[in-house]
Amino acid sequence: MPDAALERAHDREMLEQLAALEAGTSEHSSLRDALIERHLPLVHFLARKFADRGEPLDDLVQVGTIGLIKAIDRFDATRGFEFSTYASPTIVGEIKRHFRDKTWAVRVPRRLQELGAAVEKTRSELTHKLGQAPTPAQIASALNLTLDEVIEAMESQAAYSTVSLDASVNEEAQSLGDSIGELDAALESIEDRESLKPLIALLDDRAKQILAMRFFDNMSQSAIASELGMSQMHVSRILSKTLTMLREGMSN
Amino acid sequence: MTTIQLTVPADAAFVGLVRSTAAHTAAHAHLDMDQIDDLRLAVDEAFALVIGTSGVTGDVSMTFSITTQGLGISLTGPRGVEAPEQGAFAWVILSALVGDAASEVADGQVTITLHSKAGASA
Repeated sequence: MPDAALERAHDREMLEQLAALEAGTSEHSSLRDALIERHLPLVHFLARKFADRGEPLDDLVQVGTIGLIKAIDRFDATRGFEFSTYASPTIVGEIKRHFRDKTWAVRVPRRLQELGAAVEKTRSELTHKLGQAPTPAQIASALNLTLDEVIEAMESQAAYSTVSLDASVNEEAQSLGDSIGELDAALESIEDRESLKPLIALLDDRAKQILAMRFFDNMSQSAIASELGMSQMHVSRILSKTLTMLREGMSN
Repeated sequence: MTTIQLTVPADAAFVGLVRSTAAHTAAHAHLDMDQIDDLRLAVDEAFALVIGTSGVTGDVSMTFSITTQGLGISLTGPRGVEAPEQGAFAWVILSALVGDAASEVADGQVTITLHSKAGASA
């Protein structure tokens, strides 16, 4: 029997044993612990898929492990599923829930989070359709909402935590060299460049690139977002954080 | 023309309120979403400029004017020093973010005015 099949058979056996034991007994809890430990690599594997979104990997592993424990406790061996097939969506679900619930700086009601997501989605759809960013009124009419509801949703989006700021969105290297060189050249025309340069050197490449695109190539935030394959909101937050950092650095 | 007045202490703790007011009035002035995002950044920058460095006391008074052309914002604060020079980085940022930015110093107060034109997005 191949190793993987052997492993699965072993899983099944352990899970069947677990189901037969009474919860709360020491045998039950040590077998349960063994099962958890055995599947931690699966949790790590799944958590790493979300690792570039700005939350610490440890936190993702921790919430993923909660998902794993739930899966172990709920698994019904008699239904004939493979455990890993059953557990993966539960683990991923728990990690996604973490992003949905925990990464808001201010607790925003679910209704507003959903409204905010709908506004963002419509914003990018209409940007494509119109060839420029829509007004809030256009978004309101597309979603059949009032202008005030759209404004409320925009404000709630602004409360979304800045956790994902430093994370790069994807792994593949953008052509960073060019835009960073450009940024240096553009700075030559600025009077306080000597105090700026060391601050800019502290920025990560992504922030430098976005800064150059917005202020020296004069690209709109939407254009930057689509060029880099990120959301406008993300671009907006990176810019906001970068400018605040530069401003504070220069006043010190 | 519709005008909205807002006065807050010259303290960075209130910049969020100013940013929200700017976004809200911008929506009513039919600026597009990109302009509104830029305006939030511009207001941050302008607010920091009019309150100057720390230790300044007083208020920042703002007027938001919604017209058929767009939105005008003026911020007057107690920064007792010269207005930012045109070549300064802060000014490069402000000019890139809104269509029109200007500053003026009078009686130890600095006023920054920003104008965003509806339908003028890049």
